[in-house]
Amino acid sequence: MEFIRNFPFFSIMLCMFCAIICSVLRRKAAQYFTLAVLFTVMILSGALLYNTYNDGGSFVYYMGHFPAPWGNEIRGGCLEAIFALFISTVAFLSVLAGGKAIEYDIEDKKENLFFILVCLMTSSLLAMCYTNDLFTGYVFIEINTIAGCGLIMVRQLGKSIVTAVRYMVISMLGSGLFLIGVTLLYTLTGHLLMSNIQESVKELISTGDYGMQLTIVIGLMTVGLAIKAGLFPFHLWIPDAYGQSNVISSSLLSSTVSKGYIFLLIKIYFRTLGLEAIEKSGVLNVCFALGIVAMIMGSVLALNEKSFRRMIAFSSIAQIGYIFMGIGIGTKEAVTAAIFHIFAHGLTKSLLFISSSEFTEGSHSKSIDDLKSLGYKYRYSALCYSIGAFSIVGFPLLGGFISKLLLGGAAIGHGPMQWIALLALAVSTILNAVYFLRTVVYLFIPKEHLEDSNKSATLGDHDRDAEHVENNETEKSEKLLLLPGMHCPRYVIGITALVLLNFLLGLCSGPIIDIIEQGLEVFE
Amino acid sequence: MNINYFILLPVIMPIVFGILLLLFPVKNDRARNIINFIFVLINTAFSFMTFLYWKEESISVVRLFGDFTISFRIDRAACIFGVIVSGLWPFASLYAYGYMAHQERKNTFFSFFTMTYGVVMGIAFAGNLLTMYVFYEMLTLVTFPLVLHPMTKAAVKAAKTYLVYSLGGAAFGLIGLIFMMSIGSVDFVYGGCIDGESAGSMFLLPAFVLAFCGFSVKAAMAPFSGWLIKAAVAPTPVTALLHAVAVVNAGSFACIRLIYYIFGTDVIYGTWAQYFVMSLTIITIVFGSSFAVKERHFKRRLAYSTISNLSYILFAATIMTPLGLTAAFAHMIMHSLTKICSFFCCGIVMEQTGKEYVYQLDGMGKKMRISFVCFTIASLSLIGIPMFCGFQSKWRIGVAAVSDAQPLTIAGLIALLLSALLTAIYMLSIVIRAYFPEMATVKEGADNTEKKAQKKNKNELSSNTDYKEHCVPMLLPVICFAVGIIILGVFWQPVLDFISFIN
Repeated sequence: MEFIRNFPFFSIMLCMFCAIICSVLRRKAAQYFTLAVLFTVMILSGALLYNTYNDGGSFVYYMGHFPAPWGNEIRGGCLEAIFALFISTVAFLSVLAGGKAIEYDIEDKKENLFFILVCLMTSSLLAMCYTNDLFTGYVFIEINTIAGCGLIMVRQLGKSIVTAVRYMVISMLGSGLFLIGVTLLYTLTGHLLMSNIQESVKELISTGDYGMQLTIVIGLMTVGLAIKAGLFPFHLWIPDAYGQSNVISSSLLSSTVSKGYIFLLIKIYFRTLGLEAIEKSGVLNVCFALGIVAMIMGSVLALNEKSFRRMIAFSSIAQIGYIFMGIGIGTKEAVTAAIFHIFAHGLTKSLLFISSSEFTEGSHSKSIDDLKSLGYKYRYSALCYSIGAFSIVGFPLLGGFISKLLLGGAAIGHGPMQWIALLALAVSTILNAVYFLRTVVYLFIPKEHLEDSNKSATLGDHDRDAEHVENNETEKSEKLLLLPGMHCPRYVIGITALVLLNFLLGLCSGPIIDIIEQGLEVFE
Repeated sequence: MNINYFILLPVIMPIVFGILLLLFPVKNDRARNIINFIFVLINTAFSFMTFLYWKEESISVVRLFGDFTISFRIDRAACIFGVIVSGLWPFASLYAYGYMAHQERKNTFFSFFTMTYGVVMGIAFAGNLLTMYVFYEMLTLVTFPLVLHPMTKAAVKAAKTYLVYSLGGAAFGLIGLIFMMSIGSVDFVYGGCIDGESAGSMFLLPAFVLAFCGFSVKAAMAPFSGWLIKAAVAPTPVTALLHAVAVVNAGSFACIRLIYYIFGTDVIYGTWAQYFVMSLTIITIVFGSSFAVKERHFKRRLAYSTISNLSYILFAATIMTPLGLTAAFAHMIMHSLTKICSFFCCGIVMEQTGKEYVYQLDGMGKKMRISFVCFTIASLSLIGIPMFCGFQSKWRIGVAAVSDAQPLTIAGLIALLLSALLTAIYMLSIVIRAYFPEMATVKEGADNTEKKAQKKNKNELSSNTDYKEHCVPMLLPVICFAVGIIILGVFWQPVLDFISFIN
């Protein structure tokens, strides 16, 4: 299908143009337009996935039919297609579910500005996913940084501006390092296209020239992208950036943006530089070690966190650790597991951020202690939040469980690595259970009961009636426990879709794993 | 549609029923109890029918990825566990109706209570380790609201502890699962599914030890038994469920599956891994019984007793001979019956009189006659007096240990005898206090609260305070269990024939 090959280009450009058009639209119209475009991109990516998976191959698309170096190249395979599908789905569902909350969160005049940023970010992520050109990758990294910065800042609180500035500085550091890496690589190989670079790198390795320089390039690119993805020692910007921003921003930043950088890193490792060069440089061991440390430290930090959303953000650090651990093992199964975990974590994290927003907004408090008994007030959100939390903990039938199985299975057979990886998996699961399920328990404790049990020692006779009334209230709230809160249909549809996708990942992981494996096969 | 899919019914029906009850609460207590009880009876009937017509072929429901499926299969072991669960459940439900009559949030309680039935049947019928793991985690999820149910601070704390211990244990169980998946087969096959090639893997034994420890968290083995004691704050039907029917049995059942059906005794027998897990169980046997003697809270004393008795099962299982497997199942049956009986008696006493500590029970035997007669029978069975079923199962464990005759199994045998002595002390001291209050004098070392309580008790005795115990839904199960203990103690042979299928 010749026509379908245009789809990657279409989806990038659609988002770009949507951003431009949004600037002149009214606030409501901008939102609906963005939704429509994201939905279209979703369908385009789905069609592309269907086609590339059936073809079993990949294609290179010349922008404007000019070959490089004049034109620009886009590459489409089923791995890229499924990643684009993932990005557009998460973006669509986040905007769908969080759109209502945004209206109260952002000043009226800034709302179309916000959707410009959302569109820009999606388009830059799509470009990072499809591009076959390292420099284009760099350009879109910068666009992404700026969009991300705006997404944090659009909620004009004093703190979010500080956060945005910090995000900007750290991200610039990351993209600067990446740029230096690209420049050095260009001087070494004379190419910017991924496939050409791979040939030259192979030659360089066979002749043995420039070994040190190549290692430096790999190091710079890895550190640059790891900073942007928020791997453990570079994680300092994460908690504020995710915790301070509004619903859609935190959902997008945590589940798609950092994953976009990781996807680019995978592309650089396994497509641009080739596994041989990567293994020679030993960078995989660094990824593995940092991943393990992140898995444990992220959870430990989350354990000590008092603020609810920041706690979810800290858990992201641990989850990114899982992904880097998978990349660090370096086999095909491990990278498959890592990519699967990207999907599982992305869908779960956006679910968590969106459903948790209702508690933090509803109680006007960010503290975990104030979550008590909110599960009865916001029943449906609480249910969905619990499902998300169980998925992160690795409960069977949900996405997180499968990715843990895959990661553990990939680790086995790798000498001392397997011990560390499996023990870290188990320990981080326990830590996850401790801090996530603490919030779930808090949500479902009726407040009056806690107070009752304190009071009951001094309960006089005339208090009994009051107690009776309270009990009636609990009885009432019990009745309504699980009926969906119908206050806003789009919100309910959005989070329900996210929950269903989580179950889909947990129950029908077979086809998805097949797609990822096939995509990795045609990667080189 | 394959006719064999009927074996899924006992698993799915209670779960669906529980969810429906959660969504559409029934206001009227009586109506709900009747509907629920009829439903439980139907489900039990269904499970017994599946046992009668069982065929050893597996049914796959969902393919997760690769060759790994959620599948169900009924073999002998599944049958034994399934009979225990589905046989005891109607009684447990009946008791719960009586016990919960004056409690709140009964709809939530009974929906999760019923869901637990389905999930435990799922563990019993699971055809491979993956399926069992799925239901094992679900068991944590559905029993957790039950522990939380009183909603007091202590209950919240207990529920959190329970959740963390269980999920943590499952996380280590996951290591075993991942290891088996990397070998390529997770199906339950008697004798294990490890072939010669992977038997040499240096990862095998550590994976076994980690997985065993992980699954034994639910079976309350010594370093991981803290949750069981804390969970004593839950309502008595729930503790009985945790202790006797569902949770701890599921834990030991999982361990048995792990040893005999996944790793296989051939590769583990005689290695350091066997010695390690066996010494843990022996330590737990002694630890549980001695702490039970020390504990003065009625329910918590029984909880410690459960810890030691569960390790009897695990000890028998870790002998790793066919005789050991038989003994493990024998003790599982006996312990379920005995412990649920004693817990229910304890629950009746605590619910009707509000007395929680052992030293408050002086002279209660004459006031609550039926309960204490049944409790005495259960105590005698737990100690292992001949003519009660406890003797039979302990005898099997002894035979298995002696026939293996290794230093460690002999040590285990000694621990067993010691524990029997301790059991006699901690169970009979309650019985003696209840029947012969005049013998219970105030000890010199006793603290003030204890003295006060005894004084109060004496006053009560002389003033003839009357305690009711005629609540039929609660008494009927207890009487049935007591009769069952005696019947099984005398006519043990058919049961033994059924479970000693390997010899």
